[in-house]
Amino acid sequence: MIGKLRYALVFLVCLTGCTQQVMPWERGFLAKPQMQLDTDPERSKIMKHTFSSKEAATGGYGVGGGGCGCN
Amino acid sequence: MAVIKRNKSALSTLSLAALALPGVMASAADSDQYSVDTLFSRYSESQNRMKIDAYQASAYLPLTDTLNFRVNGVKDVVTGASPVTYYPAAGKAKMIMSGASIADVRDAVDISASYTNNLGQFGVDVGRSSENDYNSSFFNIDSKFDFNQKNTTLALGYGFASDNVWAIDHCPPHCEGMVGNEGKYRRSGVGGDKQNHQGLIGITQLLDKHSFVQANLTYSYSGGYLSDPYKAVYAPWVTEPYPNYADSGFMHDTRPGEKHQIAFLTRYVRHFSNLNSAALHLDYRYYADTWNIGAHTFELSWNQPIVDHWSITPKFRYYSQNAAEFYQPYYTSQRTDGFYSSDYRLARFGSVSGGVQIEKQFFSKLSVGFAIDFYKRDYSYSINGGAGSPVDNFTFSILSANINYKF
Repeated sequence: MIGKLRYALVFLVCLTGCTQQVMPWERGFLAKPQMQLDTDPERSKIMKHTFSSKEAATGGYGVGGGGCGCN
Repeated sequence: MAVIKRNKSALSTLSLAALALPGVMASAADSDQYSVDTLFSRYSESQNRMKIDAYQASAYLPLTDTLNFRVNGVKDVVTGASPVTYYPAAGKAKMIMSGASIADVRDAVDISASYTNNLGQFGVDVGRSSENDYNSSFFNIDSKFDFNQKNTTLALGYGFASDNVWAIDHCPPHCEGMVGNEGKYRRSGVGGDKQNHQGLIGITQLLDKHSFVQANLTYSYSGGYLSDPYKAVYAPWVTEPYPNYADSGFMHDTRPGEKHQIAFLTRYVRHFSNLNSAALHLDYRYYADTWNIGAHTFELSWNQPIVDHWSITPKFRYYSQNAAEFYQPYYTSQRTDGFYSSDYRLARFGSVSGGVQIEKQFFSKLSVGFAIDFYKRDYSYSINGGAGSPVDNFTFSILSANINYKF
């Protein structure tokens, strides 16, 4: 598990290496609703809750929420 | 007055658009407008298994330019049946279901506050979830810091949850020592407390004026009672009768008392000007834990604005995991580590799912949407290894409808 973690950290460090500087007045497209990471937070919440109660994998999207007795 | 108000609103919207950095704005609703979001969804599993009606509501309250609150509430109404255990029949696993006896309600509420200043954005979230057989209390803190002329955002987060789980039986039919006192009672010998700590570090980076990428790394530690009190395993060397079942040869689901998990998520979002401002969302997540489960998740969606504030979003998802090192559909001999589970969620399997969402906005204030999603789990879809069984193949669908209003 630790070995795979190393690749993730290398990716994080390299992330800023291949980008263009975007000025504030150039961010109109990025600010559109369809460009948000979660375009529909309520629906996204129920889908993630469903997947995490039917699959072993969880995490990545943020911290938060309690568990459930989902079967 | 109306003109001034309209100009203020337009200026505010323009400022938000100019300063918005993906990852800083949690959602399009995080503006200077009060808003209410509601969602109803119906989850239905194949073979008359679980059915869940979920009611969600969320209110966003921006008190000042720098301080806002959000209140979320969820009610799940759960009915149906779930696999309890498996036994060998002609060399194959045969499932024993709980019967259509599950009837539960989950109520969850959480309140969050977010404060923004020159240093960054700071949030706290506190909540509680309760069911007939499960309680959870949790809090989370998160922060976001911009640098590189707001082209890069660093996110840090921590979450803690304290849970208590137990099993409920009904008399009748399970009336051992309960005759004359019919109703629900707590099964003895199973259940307990567990705690979970989560940490997150993430970076969101603008690539150009049409695209950005996010990479998140989360680590989670769980300790305590991590077994499922309703699940049993076939263990032919056990001579005592299993509680509520006449047969011997079964024992309680017994998992390690600790689990470390990591998840590495990368998300890519791209805007297409020449396709009516469509947006592509691509996600990949790698997951691993100390129960030796590894999993890959790929997600793709395409948000297409059409005309007159209509939009359509098709989605596709693929998931694959390998089995936990102690998982077996049924056991024929004792394990030296003493861990046993036949929970289908710890098996080797894969799944494909997809759906479509349609959204319509009215007067820039009211938004109404509808979505349908299908999910198919199959033992043979896994690209990972380990034990598993086709007996656990199933499908489910989710129908959902939402109404959102900005004041």
